[in-house]
Amino acid sequence: MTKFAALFVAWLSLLGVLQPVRAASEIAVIVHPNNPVRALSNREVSDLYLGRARSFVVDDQIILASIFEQQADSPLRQHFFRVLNGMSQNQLNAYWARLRFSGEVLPPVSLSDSRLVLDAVSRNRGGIGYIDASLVNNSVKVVLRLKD
Amino acid sequence: MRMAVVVGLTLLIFSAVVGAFTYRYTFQYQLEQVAELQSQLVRTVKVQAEIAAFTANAQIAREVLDGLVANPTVLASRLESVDGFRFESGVRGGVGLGAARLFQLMSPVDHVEVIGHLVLVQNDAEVSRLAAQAALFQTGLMLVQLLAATTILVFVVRRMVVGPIMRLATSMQAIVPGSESRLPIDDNHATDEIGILSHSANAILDAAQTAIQKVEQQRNALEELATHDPLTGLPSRRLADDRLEMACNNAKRTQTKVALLFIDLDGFKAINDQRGHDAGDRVLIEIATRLHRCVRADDTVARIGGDEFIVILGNLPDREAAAHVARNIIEAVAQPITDQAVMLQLGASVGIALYPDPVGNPGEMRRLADQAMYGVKRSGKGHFAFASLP
Repeated sequence: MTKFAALFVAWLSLLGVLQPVRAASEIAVIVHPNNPVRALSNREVSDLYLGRARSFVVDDQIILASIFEQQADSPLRQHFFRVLNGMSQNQLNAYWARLRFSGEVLPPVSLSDSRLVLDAVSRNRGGIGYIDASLVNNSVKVVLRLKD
Repeated sequence: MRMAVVVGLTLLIFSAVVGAFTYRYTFQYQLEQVAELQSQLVRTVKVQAEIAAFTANAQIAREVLDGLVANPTVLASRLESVDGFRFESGVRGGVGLGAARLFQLMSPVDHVEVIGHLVLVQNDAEVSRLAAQAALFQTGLMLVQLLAATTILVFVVRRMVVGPIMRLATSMQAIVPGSESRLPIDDNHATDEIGILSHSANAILDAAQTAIQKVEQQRNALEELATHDPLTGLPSRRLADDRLEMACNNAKRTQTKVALLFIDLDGFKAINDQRGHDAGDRVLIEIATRLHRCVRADDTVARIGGDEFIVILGNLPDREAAAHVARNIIEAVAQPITDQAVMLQLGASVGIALYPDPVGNPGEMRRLADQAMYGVKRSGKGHFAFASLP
């Protein structure tokens, strides 16, 4: 039992050590190339990912947003929200737990890795996602870059 | 009774003041409690309310507000976000009907940015009613306690103080100062204030008795001195006069006679001169004793001068009875007296005055008896003679 706990602590610290390495890399928020949105602020992205906003509004044009999430426990997601709005995974989980309970809103769809996110956004006009900036290609458009 | 009225009145004023204070304080306290309760309610649902305001979620907003208005002290509540989202619950148009309290809602993201607020409208009528109820109950309870405490106090004071004091006062009234009687001290009060009071009173009674006895002794001594001859202890002339008066009054009533014997000692002056005053005094004491032996218990023997005595005989049937006593006296005095181994010889000359015949006035009797005695002296001493009117 104590062995297991020690192992768990070691794993946690390993996570902590790894994180700065990941943090050094840049995250890109991407949309479909045909989306008229040119750039988004942290706030706008945050509102979309917290279910507060559900569409892109450019001039008088409204495009319903399809929001793609990374896996719930992925370091990328942790990093993304920490830089975006400062929310921790625990805060996020609690937030969604309460919101989901109302039955009106569903959290964004989670995809298992960045390639799937890239693929989904490139094929969906209202799509939005975030990936490691190094993976960006011209099938998507970057509307926000997040650095530490 | 006056004490009870004063105590009652004081208590009434005290109760009124304390009651008013208790009511006000409890009422205020209840209002604060309600406000605190409402704050707690809002704290419990705050995160939900914030998420509802943040995401403009009507479902969550309804749950939050319905939960709040379920409390009887809340009349209505409203949730508003800065984006214009607005949701109400409770009595329609309730806002404005009671005291409204506003709680700020923060963004669930950073907990700093104000994204809206929650308004709680208090059901003032209900809150006042509840507060008044609680305050009334508290005040009533306090007054009942006060009343109970007072009743017990009054009962105990009556039982332990007033009763014993009244009993003490009653027994104190019955005691005559200077007498032997004292206040009873029962065991229940042996060591308390009542006991101390009783002991003090008894101490005063002791002192009074001592003082009164002393005064009486002194008065008796003075009276003795005034009415008796200090040497022989025989009545003095004044007391003899009183006794004569009494005897004569008695004789008048009983149709008997009174005799006054005026006795002068023969040969006393010589003893006094030759053997000294102390010997003279001893002889006089002996003579007094002998005279007493010759008369009845209620007859009077008095010393009225240096060697002059008076004997008053009451209730005499006739003159011969007086003559008989006179003869006895002369014989008794004539018996030799042994003083410090020396034989002394005395004699007595006796003059007798009889009442009511021939002397009808007691005041005249001594003078006439005196004259009769002088007659005896002149005619050879050692016998007696009856006085006759001139």
